[in-house]
Amino acid sequence: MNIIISNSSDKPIYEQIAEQIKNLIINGELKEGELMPSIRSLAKELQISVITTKRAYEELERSGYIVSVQGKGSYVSAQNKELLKEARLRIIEEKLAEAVSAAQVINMSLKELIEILEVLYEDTK
Amino acid sequence: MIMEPILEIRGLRKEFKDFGLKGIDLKLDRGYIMGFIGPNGAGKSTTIRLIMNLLKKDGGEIKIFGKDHVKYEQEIKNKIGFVFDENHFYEELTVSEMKWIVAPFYRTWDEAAFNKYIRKFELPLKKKIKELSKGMKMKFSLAIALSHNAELLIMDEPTSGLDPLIRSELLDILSDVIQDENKAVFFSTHITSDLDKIADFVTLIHNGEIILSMAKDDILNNYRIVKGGKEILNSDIRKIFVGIKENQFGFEALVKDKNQVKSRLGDKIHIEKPTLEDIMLYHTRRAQNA
Amino acid sequence: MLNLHLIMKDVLIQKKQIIFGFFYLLFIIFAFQNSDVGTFIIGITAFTYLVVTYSCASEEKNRADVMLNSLPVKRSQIVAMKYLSVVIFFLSGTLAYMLFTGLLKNSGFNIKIYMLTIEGFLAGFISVSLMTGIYFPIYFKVGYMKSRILNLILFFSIFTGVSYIAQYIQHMDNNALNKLLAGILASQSNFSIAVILLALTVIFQLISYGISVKIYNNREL
Repeated sequence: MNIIISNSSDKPIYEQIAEQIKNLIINGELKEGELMPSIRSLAKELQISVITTKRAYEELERSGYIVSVQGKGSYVSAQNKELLKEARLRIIEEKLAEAVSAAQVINMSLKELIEILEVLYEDTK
Repeated sequence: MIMEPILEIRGLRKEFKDFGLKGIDLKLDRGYIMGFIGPNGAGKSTTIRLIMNLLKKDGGEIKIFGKDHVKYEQEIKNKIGFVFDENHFYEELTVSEMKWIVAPFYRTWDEAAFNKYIRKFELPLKKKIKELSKGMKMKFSLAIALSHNAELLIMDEPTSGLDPLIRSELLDILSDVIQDENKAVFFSTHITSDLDKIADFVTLIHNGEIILSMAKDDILNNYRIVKGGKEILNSDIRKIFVGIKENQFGFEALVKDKNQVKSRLGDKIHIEKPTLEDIMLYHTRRAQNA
Repeated sequence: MLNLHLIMKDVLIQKKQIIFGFFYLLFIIFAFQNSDVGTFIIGITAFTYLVVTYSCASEEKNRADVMLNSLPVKRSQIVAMKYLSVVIFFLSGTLAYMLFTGLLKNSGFNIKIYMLTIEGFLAGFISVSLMTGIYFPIYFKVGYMKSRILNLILFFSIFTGVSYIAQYIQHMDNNALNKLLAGILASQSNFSIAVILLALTVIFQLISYGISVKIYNNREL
């Protein structure tokens, strides 16, 4: 599990962590029921304040991605399959929107765009 | 169950001839590291000496582990690990002789823990203390401080005069200590870069007064350094700056809330995250100009 | 809690100085041969003076008081250990004196040797107690550096004073004062005089200790 923090980003560190963990859960890298590192060991590894990791975990719990058990730690919560799928779909939509606007800049037609998509699918088979 | 703060200071006063602590308030909970920063002469050492009852306070209240620091002095000191700036050990003694003198004072001395630190820090037991480098002396101080089950570590400028490598090692050790959420560290320094990473809370003191005391994250998430051309400056704008530095080619200022400038000045300025050093410098400069 | 290891600290930090002190003692045995009981009084006072002031200087040089006061130990205990260290040094100096004089007596050296008697022991004890009893409150008040000159004056005046008095008492002439003193003293046994003097000295030290504790408790470090 990789978590990379940028000090120069304007985004608060706890947000960066929460977001990256969210993505790990969405991608399936972090499985349901998996035990998360303790907020203290995470703080130590990343060399940041424990308050930061605490906030990140609180944020994740608030959005339902993890669940904290007193005395035991935090676990990836059982994800609502529908919500997860929706989240994944959203990411796909975003990325496709980027491709569409990039295509429009050079006046590419929809047909040409679909061709590229087919080639890409072939390549990754 | 909410536990009381491990260190609580209220209205602490101490008068000297040309300096004084003018009513200090601060609070540290278990499980956290607090950085106590300020320029030289701000009152950091004085505050720590008052906590340890080396100096007598003129007014105010100091509670450690919830108990008055004078009334329960011996009991409290058993559970405090103290690391000072200069060496206060007997230079003529060897490391093991010095330990032999100090250890019996502590009810909960842990010889096994001491030996573990001796090995980890590679401290030569038979060497005289005066033959140790400054970094080794500090590590020895730390070894003693960590070998009697202390719950609160108080450190008075432990890293001054030490190279970055040793400072980084010290911070790693403190990180380990704080894995136990029952412990806390109170760390005074004017080398704020040490705290940029590791501190949970930061208290800034200047001229015997607390200027700010809050979570480091809150400071670094909200304060911003603003840079721009001097033509933007007017009395309104100046008011929102905590402090400002002007030169021939523009200005640099510290602002408390990044939202204050983003909306007003937007693209006319360059905005960056400050370091704790910036926070310290701008506040202490401002206090002088106030 | 007796914290004897705090006294051991006074020994450990000056192993070389103590050995030097013993040699100094030996030197005095030779140099002050004709002083009779004064030899012992001067010797033991000098020896104790050397080691006690060296340990005080060491405390100050190392700024050890900050370290000591960060430990869970009462300031009164720190003071008490200083006074007790004097007793330890006095006893070891006395033993050394007896050893040296014993060896020298049987060695055939042609010097006058004063073998230690109970009176001498007492006189030495009084001399050392007077010196440290006056020195310590001042040391706890102003520290080693500021008290150095006074210390020196104290040292010289005490041991010359006590030696003089002791010698005088031992070889008393017959004038009025002496007759009076002799009268009082004769009416007491030597033993009770010794006990009274010992008690006075101990009381003096206790008062000194009380003053030192009061001073040190209020000292800002």
